[in-house]
Amino acid sequence: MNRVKDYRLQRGWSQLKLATAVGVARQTINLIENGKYNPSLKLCIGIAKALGTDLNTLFWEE
Amino acid sequence: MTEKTSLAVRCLKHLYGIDGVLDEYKRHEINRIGNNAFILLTGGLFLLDLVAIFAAATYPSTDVLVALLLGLPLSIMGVMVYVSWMLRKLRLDDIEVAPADLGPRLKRLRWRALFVGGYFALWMFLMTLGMNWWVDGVSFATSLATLSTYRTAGLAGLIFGVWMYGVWRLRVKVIR
Repeated sequence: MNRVKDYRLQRGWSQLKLATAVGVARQTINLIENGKYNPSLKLCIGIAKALGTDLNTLFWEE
Repeated sequence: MTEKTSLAVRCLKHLYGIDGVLDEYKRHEINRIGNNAFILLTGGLFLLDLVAIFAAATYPSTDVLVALLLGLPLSIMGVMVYVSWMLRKLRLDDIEVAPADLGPRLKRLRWRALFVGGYFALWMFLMTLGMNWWVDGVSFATSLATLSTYRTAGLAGLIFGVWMYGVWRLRVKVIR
């Protein structure tokens, strides 16, 4: 599972705030956080930038 | 900066009843649903034609023609039911609002329902005029002077408007 939710909560952001920052629907953020949708690389980069982190930290699984 | 929405995107959103951003997830899903709908429709129509060819050998050609003419809108209706069901299942047509925006949003929905109800009433009115003239040979002037023409159209518009408001209201989800 990715760490989008952890980083979002660290910032104190709601799903809606992150969705607005990235330019997608809240539902899409919810699906990504729950591992039900694999976002495109472009969207992954957008989320990482919005959360002030990088792709490895957010999406790389050990 | 707000990105300008293209006409194609606006048409897609209108057709599928998508509220808010048409992002990559929604676009992917509506492409999939649209492709399935296309396959179902073409398959259904092909099957209908095949049945009609065989039926024409046994039944009168006018009956086969009527069955074909009825089969086409029924196939389209079937596909529309599939699309609506999938949109609901995937919650693609949800209308998500913040608690503070609920009131204004519902007000907008009521105006929208009033508009579609009025549009439907006008459509029904013109249809009634046309059908009266075509089927029963009643002149436009006579139909226009009949109260029931207005009453039927008004009632149809009212029912349609209330129905649409109910459908939209059920889609509204308050996000906290």
